[in-house]
Amino acid sequence: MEPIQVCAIWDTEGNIRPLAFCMEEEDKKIKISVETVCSWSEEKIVGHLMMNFSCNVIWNGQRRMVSLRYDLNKHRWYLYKA
Amino acid sequence: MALRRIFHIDVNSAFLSWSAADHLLMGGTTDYRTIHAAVARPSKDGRGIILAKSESAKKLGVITGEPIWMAKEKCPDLYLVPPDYGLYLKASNAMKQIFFEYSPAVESFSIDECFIDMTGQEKFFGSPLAAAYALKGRIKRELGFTVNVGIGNTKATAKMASGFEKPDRVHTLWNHEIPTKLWPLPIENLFMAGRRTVKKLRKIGINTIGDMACVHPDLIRKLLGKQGILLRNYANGVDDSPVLEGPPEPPKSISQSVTLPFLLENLEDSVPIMLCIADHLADKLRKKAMAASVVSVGIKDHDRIHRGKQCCPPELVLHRRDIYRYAMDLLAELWPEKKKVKYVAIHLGGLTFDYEMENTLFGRDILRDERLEEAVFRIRSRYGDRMIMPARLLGSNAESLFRDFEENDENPLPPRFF
Repeated sequence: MEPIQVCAIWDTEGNIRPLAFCMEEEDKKIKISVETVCSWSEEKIVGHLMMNFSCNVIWNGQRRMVSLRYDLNKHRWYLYKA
Repeated sequence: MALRRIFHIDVNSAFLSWSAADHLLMGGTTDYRTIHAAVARPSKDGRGIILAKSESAKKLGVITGEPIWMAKEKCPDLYLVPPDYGLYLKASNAMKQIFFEYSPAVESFSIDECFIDMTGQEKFFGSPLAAAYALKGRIKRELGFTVNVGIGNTKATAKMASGFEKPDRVHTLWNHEIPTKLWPLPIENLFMAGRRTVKKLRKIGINTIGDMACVHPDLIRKLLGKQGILLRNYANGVDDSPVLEGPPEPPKSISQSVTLPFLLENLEDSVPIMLCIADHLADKLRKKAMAASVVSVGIKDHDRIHRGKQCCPPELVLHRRDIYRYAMDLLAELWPEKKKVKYVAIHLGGLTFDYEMENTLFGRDILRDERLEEAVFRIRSRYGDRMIMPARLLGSNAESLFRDFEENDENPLPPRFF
């Protein structure tokens, strides 16, 4: 999994909400907006602290469900499932 | 005295399990635990040993500690997973955090093994079996790997119980179960019985743990001394050692050894090797903020005969040039006549936090040396170990050794002792 660029917002309670992310498609960088965050959870597999976000996005004109992951140790975002 | 309830938790194929779980977490599709895989990092010339293996690789005869080439002969499609010691430490700490929710008495036996004293915790977590299954399930669910849990009235019996059948099991070895579950097992399965001890025991007809339990104490004391009595006690489930709470004790000694891919013909050849080892140990000491009062050197010649010598320097040792100087003096005394050396080790003992720097010692400006050591340490901490090294190592046969030590620096395993 390669890290991706993500724009996110933190509210006053410390909750994170991804707003958009960038993907490379056919050598072009495209920006994909996050329509809604359906659910989020924290994982600690092998002590690796991760936050999982299941999001609805509009991608190439279609609504899709993607899974974004935020690595709390390395402060990186990943596109886990698209 | 009420009987204790001790758990021993042992991660199944720890390094491989942790690497596998992390790989899946990061989007990988192959679970290393289900294929012929092993954790190992071969050097450029293909040397290296197996650190952990999958169950299927184990069935083909791959064993931990054997050379990679040997493992590959048994299993040609063995997939090698590079070790990640930072990950292993993280996984181990995350596991221990869960243990502390069950009991304050948690003792690390190694990076992948812990003892927990669960005596009196029944009111919170139910019976020991129920608590063990809950704990095992939680580790699997939350952390993504499996463990074996051994339950006993002592640390020794709990430890032996966790080794009964793997993986992902809970086993009990209560005192009343010892004759049926423990005694029929081969003597190799006895806690703390090493290879050499087992050999001695088998020579006198002690082949099972039951034989050891019934042997006359005077006979075993004569053969193995106090260690023999300890082993006999373990065979009988006698062990009143407590589960130690709190952080582990600081080390009493550190060491670094190396088995070379070539032979050292003379003392001069050993200079870059000893410099490399001394350099590495000086950094280790500085990280722990300790100094040593004993310097020892060990060598093995090409006939694998081991020799060792030690000295107690007049002042505490922590600078690389002092470690190197005393080690080279010892090596000069040890060097075997007309023989070549294959293995060297430097061991620093009598470690202490309690030291003060004199301004000068025997005409040497100690504080200037200390400033130099501190500068080297800070450069390495900030930019990596490769940023600065003794000039003598450049282009020498020890240069690659320097890098091997650096890669293993995050290694939380105990140092290799000679």
